[in-house]
Amino acid sequence: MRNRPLILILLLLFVFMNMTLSGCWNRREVQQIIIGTGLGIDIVHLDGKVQYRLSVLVLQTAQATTTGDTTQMGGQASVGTARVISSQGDTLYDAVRNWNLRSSRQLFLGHTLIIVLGDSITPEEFGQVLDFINRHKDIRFRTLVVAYNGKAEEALQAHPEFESLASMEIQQLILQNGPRVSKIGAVNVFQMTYDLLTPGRQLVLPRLQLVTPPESLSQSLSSEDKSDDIGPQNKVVQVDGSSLFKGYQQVGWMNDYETQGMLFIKNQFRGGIIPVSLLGQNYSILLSKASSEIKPEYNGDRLVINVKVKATGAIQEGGSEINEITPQNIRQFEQALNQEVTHRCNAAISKSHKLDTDVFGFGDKIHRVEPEMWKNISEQWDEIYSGVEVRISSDCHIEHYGLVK
Amino acid sequence: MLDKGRINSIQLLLLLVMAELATSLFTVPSRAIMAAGPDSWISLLVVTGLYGLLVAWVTLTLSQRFPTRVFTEYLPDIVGRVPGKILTAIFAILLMHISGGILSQGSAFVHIAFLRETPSLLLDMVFMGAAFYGAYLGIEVIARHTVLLFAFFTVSVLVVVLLVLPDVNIDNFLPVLENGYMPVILGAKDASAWRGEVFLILMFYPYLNLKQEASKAAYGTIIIAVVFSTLITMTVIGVFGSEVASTQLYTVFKLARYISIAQFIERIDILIVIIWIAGVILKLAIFQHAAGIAAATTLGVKNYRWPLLGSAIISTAMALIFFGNQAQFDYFFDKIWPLYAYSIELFFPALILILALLLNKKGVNES
Amino acid sequence: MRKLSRKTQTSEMDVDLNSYQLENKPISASLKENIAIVQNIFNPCDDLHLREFVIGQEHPVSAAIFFIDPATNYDILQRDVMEPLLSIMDFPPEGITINWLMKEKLPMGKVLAGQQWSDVIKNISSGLAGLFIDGLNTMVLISVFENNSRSIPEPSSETVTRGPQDGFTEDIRRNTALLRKRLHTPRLAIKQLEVGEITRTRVNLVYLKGIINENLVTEIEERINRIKIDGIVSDGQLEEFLRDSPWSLISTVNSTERPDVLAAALLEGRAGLIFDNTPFCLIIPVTMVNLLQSPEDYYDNYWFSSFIRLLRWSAFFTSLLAPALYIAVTTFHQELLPTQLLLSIIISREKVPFPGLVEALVMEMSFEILREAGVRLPRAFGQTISIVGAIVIGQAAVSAGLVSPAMVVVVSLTAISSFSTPSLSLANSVRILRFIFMLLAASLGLFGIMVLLSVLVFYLCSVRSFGIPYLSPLAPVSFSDLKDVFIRVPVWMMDKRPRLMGRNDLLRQASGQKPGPPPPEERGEEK
Repeated sequence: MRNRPLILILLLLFVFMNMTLSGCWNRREVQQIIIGTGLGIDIVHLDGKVQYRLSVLVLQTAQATTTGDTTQMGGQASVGTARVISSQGDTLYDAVRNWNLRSSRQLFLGHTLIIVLGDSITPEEFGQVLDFINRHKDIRFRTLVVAYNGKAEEALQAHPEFESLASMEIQQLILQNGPRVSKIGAVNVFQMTYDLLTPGRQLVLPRLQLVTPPESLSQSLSSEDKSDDIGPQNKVVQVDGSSLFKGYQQVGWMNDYETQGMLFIKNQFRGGIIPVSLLGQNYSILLSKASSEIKPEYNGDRLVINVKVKATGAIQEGGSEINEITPQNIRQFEQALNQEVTHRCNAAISKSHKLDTDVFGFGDKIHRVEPEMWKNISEQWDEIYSGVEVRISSDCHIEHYGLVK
Repeated sequence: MLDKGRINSIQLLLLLVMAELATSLFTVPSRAIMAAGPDSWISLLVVTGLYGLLVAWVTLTLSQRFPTRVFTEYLPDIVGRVPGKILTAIFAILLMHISGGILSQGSAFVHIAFLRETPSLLLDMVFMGAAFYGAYLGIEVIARHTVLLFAFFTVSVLVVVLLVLPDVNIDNFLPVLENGYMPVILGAKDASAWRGEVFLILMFYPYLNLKQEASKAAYGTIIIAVVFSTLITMTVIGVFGSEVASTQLYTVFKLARYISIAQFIERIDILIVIIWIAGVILKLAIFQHAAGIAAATTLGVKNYRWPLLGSAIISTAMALIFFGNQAQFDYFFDKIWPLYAYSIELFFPALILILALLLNKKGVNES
Repeated sequence: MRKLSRKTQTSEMDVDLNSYQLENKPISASLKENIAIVQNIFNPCDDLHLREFVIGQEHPVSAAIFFIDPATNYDILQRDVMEPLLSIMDFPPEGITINWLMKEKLPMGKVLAGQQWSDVIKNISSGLAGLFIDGLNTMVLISVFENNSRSIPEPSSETVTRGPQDGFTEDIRRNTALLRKRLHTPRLAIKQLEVGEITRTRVNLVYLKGIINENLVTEIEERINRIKIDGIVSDGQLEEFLRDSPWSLISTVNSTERPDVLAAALLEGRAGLIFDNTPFCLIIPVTMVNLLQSPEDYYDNYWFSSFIRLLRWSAFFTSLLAPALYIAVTTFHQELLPTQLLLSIIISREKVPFPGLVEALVMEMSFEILREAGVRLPRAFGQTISIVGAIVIGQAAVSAGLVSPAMVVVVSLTAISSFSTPSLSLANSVRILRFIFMLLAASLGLFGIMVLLSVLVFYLCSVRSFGIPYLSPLAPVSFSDLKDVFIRVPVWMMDKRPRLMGRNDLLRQASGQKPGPPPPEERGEEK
């Protein structure tokens, strides 16, 4: 150990060598990057060639400080301005790099909160999109994916009402508020990949919509404005319903009623209001603790899938017809509730039968629990799916009825 | 013995455990899942375990015949001087080659997942520099470092596993044994090669202070390694399912990145990164120490530190030549590595053991 | 079986007394024999003084008095003991007796007669002077205590809120006296050594016989005797001659100015070096874990102490890594931050023209300068400096766009954390290491930090302090010693000394002393 000082000097030399040699390879100061929080993917055709258009929702932080300085006496909040910036390329990564042609800052996708898929993506390109998302080192499995019936670029331009960025708003809508309504089936990159790769499953994405807020609609109506022509900047985002895929092909949409049924079946219903009508009056029942069980079986020669939905709920709101709730009444309520739940589930199933896509993952379930059965039918599953009978049975209970007797 | 250090059985145990797990824990799951699907945890639990125990038994029995010398010292006694020297030279070079593999595995991860624009050569050199320093300081220091790192390693792995538990879907383990036992056995093909790295006991046995605890260390290594890799593989399958998991290069890293508890505990991939980098350095240091000693005994020099430097340089060069790009690398690990590893870990020592038994060679004046 | 071995070890505690078989033996009548025995028991004890003299002029009787130097008030000794004794002309007819001496010749408040060796040893080691007279098998124990009217300073560099408030001074005898006050045992060995051809600085090697590993004592003595130097003026200079790894950035010797810390260290089987002319003494060997322990840990409730320990460990790592992590995360791994936090960091850094590394270096350097200036400044200017520091660095630098507010937070966090390390020498090593970490973080990000951390751990694993591995009991791990590392278990559970240092006498207390309420019958409760 006589040569300790030598080692120390070598070590220091090494450190400094690193400094000078590698100093700029991967270093990006935060001022040199711009954070893309929302990613929109569209396909455009340029001279007959397919081009990927990448629209990124960014926060222009440079503006933040300048406005922050001038408005110190009060004015705009100094968070910067949200903008959507698009670039185009032969491939998605080409588009990412082409971004640098017009931007002084590097695009950083490590904080992509949502990915919006426009309706122009065809099955041919969808595979590439999936690969890009999976292969990119910065995009995380947790990033949410939504489908938009239009240009994704437009969707990102929506006006955020509560958060500083529309992407954050969409993320919170889906993750935080979604389980309170259960009309949105949250899907992240991993779940999308999982649904696409696992045999016997089909992809369902939540549907993003741009809506003109009712309050501004009534305003513009009263002032006799051209209400149908407001740009996306004046619209707000709303997530409800879902977009159904068969393979990579987008085949149709589900409304929120059917989506709720689908969530019941897929065991993703976390809570929400189910309105039921009883004796000509409407009651709100808040469901929580829902669960489902899927059991495929052969009924003679026919494949039947039994779905059992269980839930507990509470009466939250009601009319004046019933002024005292008795155990008999409760049974009536439960019956009505069961009917309603079954109805929703059946609506979802008939939609999926109509579009001929197994969005519930019944095939996957058969594969898991009845591998022998699956071996026989896996080849023709796509063809026979629309003919398979699905039996819904609902078993809901009412736990309490709020603060009124 | 060129290194005068002494280690106890727990240190030897954890040293071998870290040599087995440091890199394999993160790369093995996706390889095993690719071959055996949702049943791959069974192959890791049973098949690799059995193979590992076999290797441990063979190498331990051989080592116990020569308790005061390392493998490359007594090898010439068994097979004769000239063939012995040739074999030890080959053994040393193979150890360097494996080091090269570890090195490029380590730097590939950093290169692909983090420092995309930093050249691999630099990463290789940094890794190797740190490992060389560890190996240079000797077996005792490596052993102490191992114990510290193992604590962090265990905590990190357990934290990752616990935090993704809410995302585990039991359905992903089904159906069990869909295609019979064959895929399960084949699934262990890659992972076994790593379990067999317990053969390093050939090079570390003499440092053990209480020789009667050797078997505890050798078999304990396999048990701990098997438990860890089964646990992490089960978690990967449970969360990602076999289809997605088999498409991912660094599944466990993705697993750590997938952690999200209440949108609050997230983005803690750093847990995996830390133990990956520290683990690779430690594993390299262990292999470099073995390779350096092997080279020194082959050359017959008294100080193993110069051979160690040579071995570090050769290993780095090998990493660049033999594992230059990822395709080469994957090809090696898919096709060549299992057979290659089986021959070094099992067949070669077994052959030597049989020879030693036949010729009744034993360490002279060694109790 | 373990129980059994513990028993035997506990009884070993009194081994060196038993070995002389003196515990209940009466004192012999021969003065020579008595002197030899005392010197034997207390050896080595360079603060025990022996004064031999003769009583009576007609029929001289030889006598000897033993006293511990620093604990003795020489005025009293001279005026009230030596003078009366030396002025005795003749004895009463029945000859010299203890009674006569005590009644007529010793005008002292507290004078005892002792006949058993156990009395003698106990009392001499707690500071009484012992008078032996040839031919008498009884001896006189005279209280000549120094009533410490001189003020004992509070240790300024290591303060505690609960616990003793006395500190070492520049006078080596006072210091050994402070130690003796805590360790009333003949097993406390004090060996006087001298360093420096010109300065002849007195250095006292102190340790507890029977607990310490004797090899350590000879090793320290050898290392000190090897030193050929014109002079040393403080402990730091000697420290550099004593280290195992002379080039190490990390100090492998601990210095303290608290006698309670030294006493506790001796009880664990360490050795101490007390110097003349400096209030700091060295404790050897030392491990990194020791450097992160504070004496107060043992004086407070153990729940609280454990909490503080954990806090201190995390503060230690914060002070080492926080700026480096900040650089790595903001320049390489932006994905590791929560989105909102990253956005606000970006916004706050918008106007800063420097890269993260330069920003961090500027801030760290200015903090270090401020700190250094604060130490050197005359006290009167302290106020000025803190205002300048707070306003210039804290606020003006931010609004001038030189640094970002986030960086200020990181630097202040680092600074506060670095003050929570009890050992100044460790904190200073960390101050330097922090810069190396920052440089590597700026060139290779987290990867660089991890590599350096691995190298650092390799290095720390190889460092030894007088043969004791620096990272023990973490590496090599000793599970029974982990009770006093990240947490502190109750004192009644700390039955064993640290394994590597105290293995001569591993058990420090009887096991199973967990306290509890008395059983009901003892409480006098009605049944």
